[in-house]
Amino acid sequence: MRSDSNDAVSPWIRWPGRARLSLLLWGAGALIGLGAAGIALFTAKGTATNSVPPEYIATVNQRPLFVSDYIYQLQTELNVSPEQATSEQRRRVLDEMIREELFVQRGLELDEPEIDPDVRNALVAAVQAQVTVEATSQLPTESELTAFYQQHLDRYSSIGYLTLADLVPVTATPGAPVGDSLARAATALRDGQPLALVETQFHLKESGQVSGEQVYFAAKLHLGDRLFAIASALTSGQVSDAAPGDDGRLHLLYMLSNNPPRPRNFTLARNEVYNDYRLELQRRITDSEFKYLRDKADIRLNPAYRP
Amino acid sequence: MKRRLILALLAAVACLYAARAIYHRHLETRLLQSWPDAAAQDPQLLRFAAAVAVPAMAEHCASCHGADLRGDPRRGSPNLIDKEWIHGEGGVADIEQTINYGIRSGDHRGRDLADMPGFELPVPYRRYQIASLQPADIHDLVEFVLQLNHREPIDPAAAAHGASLYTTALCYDCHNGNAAGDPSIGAPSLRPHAWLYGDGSRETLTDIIAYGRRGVCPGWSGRLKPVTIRAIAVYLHDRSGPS
Repeated sequence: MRSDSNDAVSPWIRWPGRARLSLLLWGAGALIGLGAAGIALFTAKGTATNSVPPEYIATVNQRPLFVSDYIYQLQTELNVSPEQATSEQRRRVLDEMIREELFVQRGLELDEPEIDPDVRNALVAAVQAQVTVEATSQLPTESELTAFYQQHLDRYSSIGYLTLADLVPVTATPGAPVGDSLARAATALRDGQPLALVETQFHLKESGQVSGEQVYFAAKLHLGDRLFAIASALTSGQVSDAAPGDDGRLHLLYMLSNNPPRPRNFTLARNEVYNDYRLELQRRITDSEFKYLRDKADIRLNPAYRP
Repeated sequence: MKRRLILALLAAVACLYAARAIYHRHLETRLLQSWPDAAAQDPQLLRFAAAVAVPAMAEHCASCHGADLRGDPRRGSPNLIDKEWIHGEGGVADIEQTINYGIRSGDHRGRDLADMPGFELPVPYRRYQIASLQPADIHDLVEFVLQLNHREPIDPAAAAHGASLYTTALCYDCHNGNAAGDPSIGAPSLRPHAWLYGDGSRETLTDIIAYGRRGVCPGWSGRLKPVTIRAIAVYLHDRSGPS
Protein backbone atom coordinates (compact mmCIF):
# COMPACT_ATOMS: atom_id res chain seq x y z
CA MET A 1 0.00 0.00 0.00
CA ARG A 2 2.73 2.36 0.94
CA SER A 3 4.71 1.83 -2.25
CA ASP A 4 1.50 2.31 -4.31
CA SER A 5 0.83 5.67 -2.72
CA ASN A 6 4.47 6.71 -3.46
CA ASP A 7 4.05 5.77 -7.12
CA ALA A 8 0.94 7.93 -7.36
CA VAL A 9 2.84 11.09 -6.31
CA SER A 10 4.20 13.12 -9.27
CA PRO A 11 8.01 13.14 -9.67
CA TRP A 12 7.83 17.00 -9.69
CA ILE A 13 6.42 16.98 -6.18
CA ARG A 14 9.01 14.56 -5.06
CA TRP A 15 11.84 16.95 -6.05
CA PRO A 16 13.52 18.78 -3.19
CA GLY A 17 12.45 22.45 -2.81
CA ARG A 18 15.86 23.87 -3.82
CA ALA A 19 16.04 21.93 -7.06
CA ARG A 20 12.48 23.01 -7.89
CA LEU A 21 13.42 26.68 -7.43
CA SER A 22 16.47 26.28 -9.69
CA LEU A 23 14.34 24.77 -12.41
CA LEU A 24 11.82 27.56 -12.11
CA LEU A 25 14.52 30.23 -12.39
CA TRP A 26 16.08 28.48 -15.38
CA GLY A 27 12.73 28.31 -17.06
CA ALA A 28 11.96 31.96 -16.34
CA GLY A 29 15.38 32.96 -17.66
CA ALA A 30 14.87 31.03 -20.85
CA LEU A 31 11.44 32.59 -21.39
CA ILE A 32 12.76 36.13 -20.81
CA GLY A 33 15.65 35.44 -23.19
CA LEU A 34 13.30 34.18 -25.87
CA GLY A 35 11.05 37.21 -25.39
CA ALA A 36 13.96 39.64 -25.65
CA ALA A 37 15.26 37.90 -28.76
CA GLY A 38 11.81 38.05 -30.31
CA ILE A 39 11.42 41.75 -29.60
CA ALA A 40 14.89 42.49 -30.97
CA LEU A 41 14.24 40.39 -34.03
CA PHE A 42 11.00 42.08 -34.95
CA THR A 43 11.95 45.66 -34.17
CA ALA A 44 15.47 45.71 -35.65
CA LYS A 45 16.00 47.93 -38.70
CA GLY A 46 15.53 46.14 -41.95
CA THR A 47 13.38 43.47 -40.41
CA ALA A 48 9.80 43.07 -41.51
CA THR A 49 7.44 44.17 -38.79
CA ASN A 50 3.83 45.12 -38.59
CA SER A 51 4.36 47.97 -36.14
CA VAL A 52 5.43 51.46 -37.23
CA PRO A 53 7.93 53.07 -34.83
CA PRO A 54 6.83 56.45 -33.47
CA GLU A 55 9.49 58.41 -35.40
CA TYR A 56 8.03 57.20 -38.71
CA ILE A 57 4.80 58.44 -40.18
CA ALA A 58 4.62 55.27 -42.28
CA THR A 59 6.74 52.58 -43.80
CA VAL A 60 6.56 51.70 -47.48
CA ASN A 61 7.90 48.26 -48.29
CA GLN A 62 9.72 48.50 -44.95
CA ARG A 63 11.31 51.81 -45.94
CA PRO A 64 10.55 54.54 -43.40
CA LEU A 65 8.91 57.91 -44.01
CA PHE A 66 10.03 60.17 -41.17
CA VAL A 67 7.58 62.27 -39.15
CA SER A 68 10.06 65.16 -39.36
CA ASP A 69 9.96 65.06 -43.18
CA TYR A 70 6.17 64.92 -43.08
CA ILE A 71 5.99 67.99 -40.86
CA TYR A 72 8.56 69.77 -43.05
CA GLN A 73 6.50 69.02 -46.16
CA LEU A 74 3.31 70.26 -44.51
CA GLN A 75 5.02 73.50 -43.63
CA THR A 76 6.81 74.14 -46.90
CA GLU A 77 4.12 72.93 -49.26
CA LEU A 78 0.96 74.10 -47.53
CA ASN A 79 2.42 76.63 -45.10
CA VAL A 80 0.51 75.14 -42.18
CA SER A 81 1.71 73.71 -38.91
CA PRO A 82 0.77 70.08 -38.34
CA GLU A 83 -1.78 71.15 -35.73
CA GLN A 84 -3.48 73.55 -38.11
CA ALA A 85 -3.54 71.19 -41.07
CA THR A 86 -6.89 69.70 -41.98
CA SER A 87 -7.17 65.96 -42.30
CA GLU A 88 -7.52 66.50 -46.06
CA GLN A 89 -4.18 68.36 -46.12
CA ARG A 90 -2.51 65.71 -43.99
CA ARG A 91 -3.80 62.95 -46.24
CA ARG A 92 -2.62 64.82 -49.32
CA VAL A 93 0.92 65.27 -48.03
CA LEU A 94 1.10 61.69 -46.82
CA ASP A 95 -0.12 60.43 -50.19
CA GLU A 96 2.52 62.51 -51.92
CA MET A 97 5.25 61.11 -49.70
CA ILE A 98 4.10 57.55 -50.27
CA ARG A 99 3.89 58.20 -54.00
CA GLU A 100 7.40 59.62 -54.06
CA GLU A 101 8.80 56.71 -52.06
CA LEU A 102 7.14 54.17 -54.35
CA PHE A 103 8.52 55.86 -57.44
CA VAL A 104 11.98 56.10 -55.89
CA GLN A 105 11.88 52.39 -55.09
CA ARG A 106 10.68 51.63 -58.60
CA GLY A 107 13.39 53.86 -60.02
CA LEU A 108 16.03 51.88 -58.16
CA GLU A 109 14.52 48.63 -59.43
CA LEU A 110 14.72 49.98 -62.98
CA ASP A 111 18.31 51.07 -62.33
CA GLU A 112 17.54 54.68 -63.20
CA PRO A 113 20.87 55.96 -61.81
CA GLU A 114 22.58 53.92 -64.50
CA ILE A 115 20.63 55.32 -67.42
CA ASP A 116 19.24 58.75 -66.55
CA PRO A 117 21.75 61.63 -66.55
CA ASP A 118 19.47 63.79 -64.38
CA VAL A 119 19.32 61.08 -61.71
CA ARG A 120 23.10 60.70 -61.90
CA ASN A 121 23.60 64.45 -61.49
CA ALA A 122 21.18 64.50 -58.57
CA LEU A 123 23.07 61.63 -56.92
CA VAL A 124 26.43 63.36 -57.36
CA ALA A 125 24.98 66.58 -55.94
CA ALA A 126 23.45 64.68 -53.02
CA VAL A 127 26.74 62.99 -52.13
CA GLN A 128 28.57 66.31 -52.31
CA ALA A 129 25.89 67.94 -50.18
CA GLN A 130 26.36 65.16 -47.65
CA VAL A 131 30.03 66.07 -47.54
CA THR A 132 29.01 69.69 -46.93
CA VAL A 133 26.89 68.61 -44.00
CA GLU A 134 29.86 66.73 -42.56
CA ALA A 135 32.01 69.83 -42.86
CA THR A 136 29.36 72.02 -41.26
CA SER A 137 29.04 69.89 -38.20
CA GLN A 138 32.80 69.77 -37.58
CA LEU A 139 33.27 72.86 -35.49
CA PRO A 140 36.78 74.30 -35.65
CA THR A 141 38.49 75.57 -32.52
CA GLU A 142 39.28 79.25 -32.15
CA SER A 143 42.99 78.55 -32.54
CA GLU A 144 42.35 76.69 -35.83
CA LEU A 145 40.32 79.64 -37.10
CA THR A 146 42.94 82.15 -36.00
CA ALA A 147 45.66 80.14 -37.72
CA PHE A 148 43.58 80.03 -40.93
CA TYR A 149 43.02 83.79 -40.68
CA GLN A 150 46.76 84.41 -40.30
CA GLN A 151 47.54 82.15 -43.27
CA HIS A 152 45.09 83.99 -45.54
CA LEU A 153 45.40 87.52 -44.24
CA ASP A 154 45.13 88.99 -47.75
CA ARG A 155 41.57 87.65 -48.04
CA TYR A 156 40.44 89.56 -44.99
CA SER A 157 41.51 93.05 -45.91
CA SER A 158 39.13 95.97 -46.04
CA ILE A 159 38.13 97.29 -49.45
CA GLY A 160 40.31 100.37 -50.00
CA TYR A 161 38.75 103.59 -51.22
CA LEU A 162 40.10 106.81 -52.59
CA THR A 163 39.04 110.27 -53.69
CA LEU A 164 41.04 111.39 -56.67
CA ALA A 165 41.16 114.29 -59.12
CA ASP A 166 42.12 112.88 -62.50
CA LEU A 167 43.06 115.91 -64.56
CA VAL A 168 43.41 116.13 -68.34
CA PRO A 169 43.91 119.21 -70.55
CA VAL A 170 40.69 120.85 -71.82
CA THR A 171 42.48 121.51 -75.09
CA ALA A 172 46.16 121.68 -75.83
CA THR A 173 47.45 125.16 -74.91
CA PRO A 174 48.59 126.82 -78.19
CA GLY A 175 52.33 126.84 -78.57
CA ALA A 176 52.97 124.85 -75.36
CA PRO A 177 53.45 121.11 -75.09
CA VAL A 178 50.77 119.42 -73.00
CA GLY A 179 53.42 117.77 -70.82
CA ASP A 180 54.85 121.15 -69.80
CA SER A 181 51.45 122.50 -68.87
CA LEU A 182 50.72 119.45 -66.72
CA ALA A 183 54.15 119.64 -65.09
CA ARG A 184 53.54 123.26 -64.11
CA ALA A 185 50.07 122.37 -62.84
CA ALA A 186 51.59 119.60 -60.74
CA THR A 187 54.07 122.04 -59.22
CA ALA A 188 51.25 124.49 -58.45
CA LEU A 189 49.22 121.79 -56.71
CA ARG A 190 52.26 120.64 -54.73
CA ASP A 191 52.77 124.29 -53.70
CA GLY A 192 49.30 124.19 -52.21
CA GLN A 193 47.28 126.10 -54.78
CA PRO A 194 43.57 125.23 -54.77
CA LEU A 195 42.46 122.63 -57.30
CA ALA A 196 39.83 124.88 -58.92
CA LEU A 197 42.37 127.64 -59.47
CA VAL A 198 44.90 125.25 -61.01
CA GLU A 199 42.23 123.85 -63.32
CA THR A 200 41.38 127.35 -64.56
CA GLN A 201 44.97 128.53 -64.79
CA PHE A 202 46.26 125.54 -66.74
CA HIS A 203 43.09 124.75 -68.75
CA LEU A 204 42.54 121.42 -67.08
CA LYS A 205 39.37 119.48 -66.36
CA GLU A 206 38.51 116.27 -64.55
CA SER A 207 38.50 113.33 -66.91
CA GLY A 208 35.21 112.07 -65.51
CA GLN A 209 36.60 108.54 -65.23
CA VAL A 210 36.49 108.75 -61.44
CA SER A 211 34.32 111.05 -59.39
CA GLY A 212 33.87 111.35 -55.66
CA GLU A 213 34.90 108.57 -53.31
CA GLN A 214 35.62 105.33 -55.14
CA VAL A 215 36.33 101.87 -53.86
CA TYR A 216 39.65 100.52 -55.08
CA PHE A 217 38.24 97.95 -57.48
CA ALA A 218 35.98 100.56 -59.11
CA ALA A 219 38.83 103.07 -59.43
CA LYS A 220 40.99 100.39 -61.03
CA LEU A 221 38.24 99.56 -63.47
CA HIS A 222 37.74 103.21 -64.45
CA LEU A 223 41.36 104.38 -64.53
CA GLY A 224 42.91 101.32 -66.12
CA ASP A 225 45.81 99.35 -64.71
CA ARG A 226 48.55 101.85 -65.57
CA LEU A 227 46.99 104.94 -63.97
CA PHE A 228 45.61 102.95 -61.04
CA ALA A 229 49.10 101.68 -60.20
CA ILE A 230 50.30 105.30 -60.04
CA ALA A 231 47.23 106.50 -58.11
CA SER A 232 47.26 103.79 -55.47
CA ALA A 233 50.88 104.63 -54.62
CA LEU A 234 49.98 108.27 -53.84
CA THR A 235 49.26 109.27 -50.28
CA SER A 236 46.57 111.82 -49.48
CA GLY A 237 47.59 115.24 -50.87
CA GLN A 238 50.25 113.91 -53.26
CA VAL A 239 50.32 114.74 -56.97
CA SER A 240 51.67 112.46 -59.68
CA ASP A 241 53.75 113.42 -62.67
CA ALA A 242 51.96 113.53 -66.02
CA ALA A 243 51.38 110.00 -67.22
CA PRO A 244 49.67 108.49 -70.26
CA GLY A 245 46.41 106.70 -69.67
CA ASP A 246 44.80 103.83 -71.57
CA ASP A 247 42.85 106.46 -73.57
CA GLY A 248 46.11 107.84 -75.03
CA ARG A 249 45.83 111.19 -73.20
CA LEU A 250 48.22 112.53 -70.58
CA HIS A 251 46.74 112.56 -67.06
CA LEU A 252 47.68 114.31 -63.87
CA LEU A 253 46.53 112.57 -60.70
CA TYR A 254 45.89 114.52 -57.52
CA MET A 255 45.07 112.27 -54.56
CA LEU A 256 42.65 114.01 -52.23
CA SER A 257 42.21 111.06 -49.90
CA ASN A 258 43.62 107.54 -50.04
CA ASN A 259 42.51 104.79 -47.69
CA PRO A 260 44.23 101.65 -48.97
CA PRO A 261 42.98 98.16 -47.98
CA ARG A 262 43.92 97.18 -44.45
CA PRO A 263 43.59 93.80 -42.77
CA ARG A 264 40.27 93.53 -40.92
CA ASN A 265 40.68 92.32 -37.39
CA PHE A 266 39.82 88.72 -36.67
CA THR A 267 36.77 89.55 -34.57
CA LEU A 268 35.09 91.40 -37.43
CA ALA A 269 36.16 88.95 -40.11
CA ARG A 270 35.37 85.85 -38.06
CA ASN A 271 32.19 84.92 -39.94
CA GLU A 272 34.00 85.02 -43.29
CA VAL A 273 36.99 83.16 -41.86
CA TYR A 274 34.69 80.42 -40.60
CA ASN A 275 32.86 80.14 -43.94
CA ASP A 276 36.14 80.00 -45.86
CA TYR A 277 37.52 77.45 -43.41
CA ARG A 278 34.44 75.34 -43.96
CA LEU A 279 34.74 75.56 -47.75
CA GLU A 280 38.36 74.50 -47.51
CA LEU A 281 37.33 71.60 -45.29
CA GLN A 282 34.61 70.61 -47.75
CA ARG A 283 37.15 70.55 -50.56
CA ARG A 284 39.49 68.39 -48.50
CA ILE A 285 36.72 65.99 -47.48
CA THR A 286 35.42 65.75 -51.07
CA ASP A 287 38.93 65.08 -52.38
CA SER A 288 39.63 62.42 -49.78
CA GLU A 289 36.22 60.85 -50.42
CA PHE A 290 37.02 60.71 -54.12
CA LYS A 291 40.46 59.25 -53.43
CA TYR A 292 39.00 56.63 -51.10
CA LEU A 293 36.35 55.62 -53.64
CA ARG A 294 38.89 55.51 -56.44
CA ASP A 295 41.34 53.40 -54.42
CA LYS A 296 38.56 51.01 -53.53
CA ALA A 297 37.14 50.80 -57.04
CA ASP A 298 38.06 48.26 -59.67
CA ILE A 299 38.71 50.54 -62.64
CA ARG A 300 39.94 49.01 -65.88
CA LEU A 301 40.69 51.17 -68.88
CA ASN A 302 40.19 50.06 -72.43
CA PRO A 303 43.70 50.14 -73.93
CA ALA A 304 42.33 51.62 -77.15
CA TYR A 305 41.13 54.70 -75.28
CA ARG A 306 43.90 55.06 -72.72
CA PRO A 307 44.73 58.77 -72.53
CA MET B 1 17.25 32.05 3.12
CA LYS B 2 20.01 34.57 2.50
CA ARG B 3 20.41 33.43 -1.09
CA ARG B 4 16.68 33.79 -1.66
CA LEU B 5 16.80 37.31 -0.34
CA ILE B 6 19.63 38.22 -2.72
CA LEU B 7 17.78 36.68 -5.64
CA ALA B 8 14.65 38.56 -4.72
CA LEU B 9 16.58 41.82 -4.51
CA LEU B 10 18.22 41.23 -7.88
CA ALA B 11 14.86 40.42 -9.40
CA ALA B 12 13.39 43.59 -7.90
CA VAL B 13 16.22 45.74 -9.30
CA ALA B 14 15.84 44.11 -12.72
CA CYS B 15 12.09 44.76 -12.62
CA LEU B 16 12.66 48.39 -11.66
CA TYR B 17 15.09 48.86 -14.54
CA ALA B 18 12.71 47.19 -16.93
CA ALA B 19 9.81 49.31 -15.69
CA ARG B 20 11.90 52.46 -16.04
CA ALA B 21 12.94 51.52 -19.59
CA ILE B 22 9.35 50.76 -20.54
CA TYR B 23 8.15 54.06 -19.04
CA HIS B 24 10.96 55.94 -20.85
CA ARG B 25 9.99 54.34 -24.13
CA HIS B 26 6.36 55.17 -23.45
CA LEU B 27 7.24 58.85 -22.95
CA GLU B 28 9.44 58.85 -26.06
CA THR B 29 6.56 57.46 -28.08
CA ARG B 30 4.15 60.02 -26.64
CA LEU B 31 6.55 62.87 -27.34
CA LEU B 32 7.04 61.76 -30.93
CA GLN B 33 3.41 61.00 -31.58
CA SER B 34 2.06 64.26 -30.19
CA TRP B 35 1.79 67.18 -32.56
CA PRO B 36 4.80 69.39 -31.89
CA ASP B 37 3.02 72.33 -30.24
CA ALA B 38 0.70 70.03 -28.31
CA ALA B 39 3.71 68.29 -26.76
CA ALA B 40 4.86 71.66 -25.43
CA GLN B 41 1.57 72.03 -23.53
CA ASP B 42 1.90 68.77 -21.64
CA PRO B 43 3.73 69.21 -18.29
CA GLN B 44 4.81 65.57 -18.16
CA LEU B 45 6.25 65.69 -21.68
CA LEU B 46 7.89 69.03 -20.92
CA ARG B 47 9.73 67.50 -17.96
CA PHE B 48 10.73 64.52 -20.06
CA ALA B 49 11.86 66.76 -22.94
CA ALA B 50 14.03 68.79 -20.57
CA ALA B 51 15.62 65.63 -19.17
CA VAL B 52 16.51 64.47 -22.70
CA ALA B 53 17.38 67.88 -24.15
CA VAL B 54 19.68 69.35 -21.52
CA PRO B 55 22.49 66.76 -21.77
CA ALA B 56 22.12 66.56 -25.55
CA MET B 57 22.41 70.34 -25.91
CA ALA B 58 25.38 70.44 -23.55
CA GLU B 59 27.10 67.99 -25.87
CA HIS B 60 26.08 69.36 -29.28
CA CYS B 61 24.85 72.97 -29.00
CA ALA B 62 26.78 74.59 -26.16
CA SER B 63 30.01 74.91 -28.15
CA CYS B 64 28.37 77.63 -30.28
CA HIS B 65 25.37 78.83 -28.29
CA GLY B 66 27.03 78.66 -24.88
CA ALA B 67 26.24 76.52 -21.87
CA ASP B 68 23.51 78.99 -20.89
CA LEU B 69 22.15 79.03 -24.50
CA ARG B 70 22.45 82.80 -24.61
CA GLY B 71 24.60 82.73 -27.75
CA ASP B 72 27.74 84.64 -28.55
CA PRO B 73 27.54 87.87 -30.61
CA ARG B 74 31.26 87.61 -31.39
CA ARG B 75 30.51 84.47 -33.39
CA GLY B 76 27.06 85.44 -34.58
CA SER B 77 25.52 82.51 -32.74
CA PRO B 78 22.08 83.61 -31.57
CA ASN B 79 20.58 83.56 -28.12
CA LEU B 80 18.15 80.63 -28.08
CA ILE B 81 16.09 81.70 -25.09
CA ASP B 82 15.37 85.39 -25.71
CA LYS B 83 12.06 85.13 -27.61
CA GLU B 84 13.74 86.62 -30.72
CA TRP B 85 13.48 84.04 -33.49
CA ILE B 86 15.46 84.81 -36.62
CA HIS B 87 14.33 81.74 -38.55
CA GLY B 88 10.68 80.81 -38.14
CA GLU B 89 8.14 82.03 -35.64
CA GLY B 90 9.40 80.04 -32.67
CA GLY B 91 6.82 77.25 -32.81
CA VAL B 92 8.04 73.77 -31.91
CA ALA B 93 7.78 72.63 -35.53
CA ASP B 94 9.78 75.68 -36.69
CA ILE B 95 12.54 74.99 -34.19
CA GLU B 96 12.49 71.29 -35.02
CA GLN B 97 12.90 72.06 -38.72
CA THR B 98 15.95 74.21 -37.99
CA ILE B 99 17.53 71.55 -35.79
CA ASN B 100 16.77 68.78 -38.27
CA TYR B 101 18.09 70.40 -41.42
CA GLY B 102 20.18 73.35 -40.24
CA ILE B 103 20.78 76.81 -41.59
CA ARG B 104 22.83 77.12 -44.80
CA SER B 105 24.02 73.64 -43.91
CA GLY B 106 24.11 72.19 -47.41
CA ASP B 107 20.93 70.17 -46.81
CA HIS B 108 18.40 71.37 -49.38
CA ARG B 109 15.69 71.16 -46.73
CA GLY B 110 17.65 73.53 -44.49
CA ARG B 111 16.94 77.23 -44.10
CA ASP B 112 18.84 78.92 -46.89
CA LEU B 113 16.76 81.59 -48.59
CA ALA B 114 18.89 84.69 -48.07
CA ASP B 115 22.25 86.01 -46.85
CA MET B 116 23.38 89.44 -45.80
CA PRO B 117 25.09 90.91 -48.90
CA GLY B 118 28.49 92.60 -48.66
CA PHE B 119 27.64 95.96 -50.21
CA GLU B 120 31.23 97.12 -50.57
CA LEU B 121 32.30 94.02 -52.49
CA PRO B 122 32.55 93.95 -56.29
CA VAL B 123 29.86 91.25 -56.33
CA PRO B 124 27.75 92.00 -53.28
CA TYR B 125 25.39 89.04 -53.52
CA ARG B 126 25.70 85.55 -54.91
CA ARG B 127 21.98 84.93 -55.33
CA TYR B 128 21.05 87.78 -57.66
CA GLN B 129 22.51 90.98 -58.97
CA ILE B 130 22.53 94.04 -56.75
CA ALA B 131 24.72 97.13 -56.93
CA SER B 132 27.68 97.86 -54.68
CA LEU B 133 27.49 100.91 -52.42
CA GLN B 134 29.97 103.70 -51.94
CA PRO B 135 31.61 103.96 -48.50
CA ALA B 136 29.73 107.23 -47.91
CA ASP B 137 26.42 105.44 -48.55
CA ILE B 138 27.37 102.69 -46.13
CA HIS B 139 28.17 105.35 -43.56
CA ASP B 140 24.71 106.86 -44.04
CA LEU B 141 23.01 103.47 -43.75
CA VAL B 142 24.84 102.89 -40.49
CA GLU B 143 23.59 106.23 -39.20
CA PHE B 144 20.06 105.21 -40.17
CA VAL B 145 20.32 101.91 -38.31
CA LEU B 146 21.73 103.68 -35.27
CA GLN B 147 18.83 106.13 -35.42
CA LEU B 148 16.37 103.22 -35.49
CA ASN B 149 17.94 102.04 -32.27
CA HIS B 150 17.95 105.48 -30.68
CA ARG B 151 21.72 105.56 -30.48
CA GLU B 152 23.38 108.94 -29.96
CA PRO B 153 25.01 110.94 -31.42
CA ILE B 154 23.62 110.63 -34.92
CA ASP B 155 24.19 112.68 -38.03
CA PRO B 156 20.54 113.48 -38.94
CA ALA B 157 21.22 114.36 -42.57
CA ALA B 158 23.19 111.15 -43.08
CA ALA B 159 20.46 109.13 -41.34
CA ALA B 160 17.82 110.68 -43.61
CA HIS B 161 19.88 109.75 -46.67
CA GLY B 162 20.38 106.28 -45.15
CA ALA B 163 16.60 105.94 -44.81
CA SER B 164 16.15 106.54 -48.53
CA LEU B 165 19.02 104.14 -49.30
CA TYR B 166 17.25 101.55 -47.15
CA THR B 167 14.66 101.39 -49.92
CA THR B 168 16.80 101.94 -52.99
CA ALA B 169 19.55 99.52 -51.96
CA LEU B 170 16.88 96.87 -51.38
CA CYS B 171 17.50 96.50 -47.62
CA TYR B 172 13.74 96.55 -47.10
CA ASP B 173 13.41 93.53 -49.35
CA CYS B 174 14.74 91.27 -46.59
CA HIS B 175 14.53 93.32 -43.41
CA ASN B 176 10.98 94.48 -44.10
CA GLY B 177 9.61 97.98 -44.64
CA ASN B 178 9.51 98.62 -40.89
CA ALA B 179 12.96 97.07 -40.30
CA ALA B 180 11.37 94.41 -38.09
CA GLY B 181 13.02 91.60 -40.08
CA ASP B 182 11.44 88.60 -41.74
CA PRO B 183 11.70 85.25 -39.95
CA SER B 184 10.45 83.40 -43.01
CA ILE B 185 13.80 84.08 -44.73
CA GLY B 186 15.98 84.53 -41.65
CA ALA B 187 16.45 88.29 -41.91
CA PRO B 188 16.92 89.67 -38.40
CA SER B 189 15.17 92.70 -36.99
CA LEU B 190 17.18 95.90 -37.17
CA ARG B 191 15.53 97.04 -33.97
CA PRO B 192 16.88 94.27 -31.83
CA HIS B 193 17.02 93.80 -28.12
CA ALA B 194 20.35 92.11 -28.69
CA TRP B 195 22.60 92.16 -31.74
CA LEU B 196 23.20 88.92 -33.57
CA TYR B 197 26.69 90.06 -34.61
CA GLY B 198 28.80 92.27 -32.40
CA ASP B 199 27.67 95.07 -30.14
CA GLY B 200 25.81 97.37 -32.53
CA SER B 201 28.74 99.78 -32.68
CA ARG B 202 29.41 101.88 -35.78
CA GLU B 203 32.47 99.79 -36.55
CA THR B 204 30.58 96.49 -36.44
CA LEU B 205 27.56 97.75 -38.38
CA THR B 206 29.85 99.20 -41.06
CA ASP B 207 31.67 95.90 -41.37
CA ILE B 208 28.42 93.94 -41.58
CA ILE B 209 26.99 96.15 -44.35
CA ALA B 210 30.32 96.31 -46.18
CA TYR B 211 31.24 92.61 -46.07
CA GLY B 212 27.99 90.79 -45.32
CA ARG B 213 27.30 87.88 -43.03
CA ARG B 214 26.34 84.26 -43.62
CA GLY B 215 25.75 82.31 -40.46
CA VAL B 216 25.69 78.54 -40.50
CA CYS B 217 24.09 75.92 -38.26
CA PRO B 218 24.53 72.22 -39.00
CA GLY B 219 21.58 69.93 -39.52
CA TRP B 220 21.23 67.15 -36.98
CA SER B 221 18.83 64.83 -38.78
CA GLY B 222 20.48 61.43 -38.90
CA ARG B 223 22.99 62.43 -36.22
CA LEU B 224 20.63 62.79 -33.32
CA LYS B 225 17.67 60.52 -32.68
CA PRO B 226 14.30 62.00 -33.75
CA VAL B 227 13.15 61.93 -30.15
CA THR B 228 16.18 63.94 -29.05
CA ILE B 229 15.54 66.54 -31.74
CA ARG B 230 11.87 66.78 -30.76
CA ALA B 231 12.86 67.05 -27.09
CA ILE B 232 15.29 69.89 -27.82
CA ALA B 233 12.66 71.72 -29.89
CA VAL B 234 10.06 71.39 -27.14
CA TYR B 235 12.57 72.42 -24.47
CA LEU B 236 13.74 75.50 -26.41
CA HIS B 237 10.17 76.50 -27.16
CA ASP B 238 9.39 76.28 -23.47
CA ARG B 239 12.49 78.23 -22.45
CA SER B 240 11.95 81.01 -24.96
CA GLY B 241 8.34 81.04 -26.06
CA PRO B 242 7.24 82.29 -29.47
CA SER B 243 8.37 85.75 -30.54
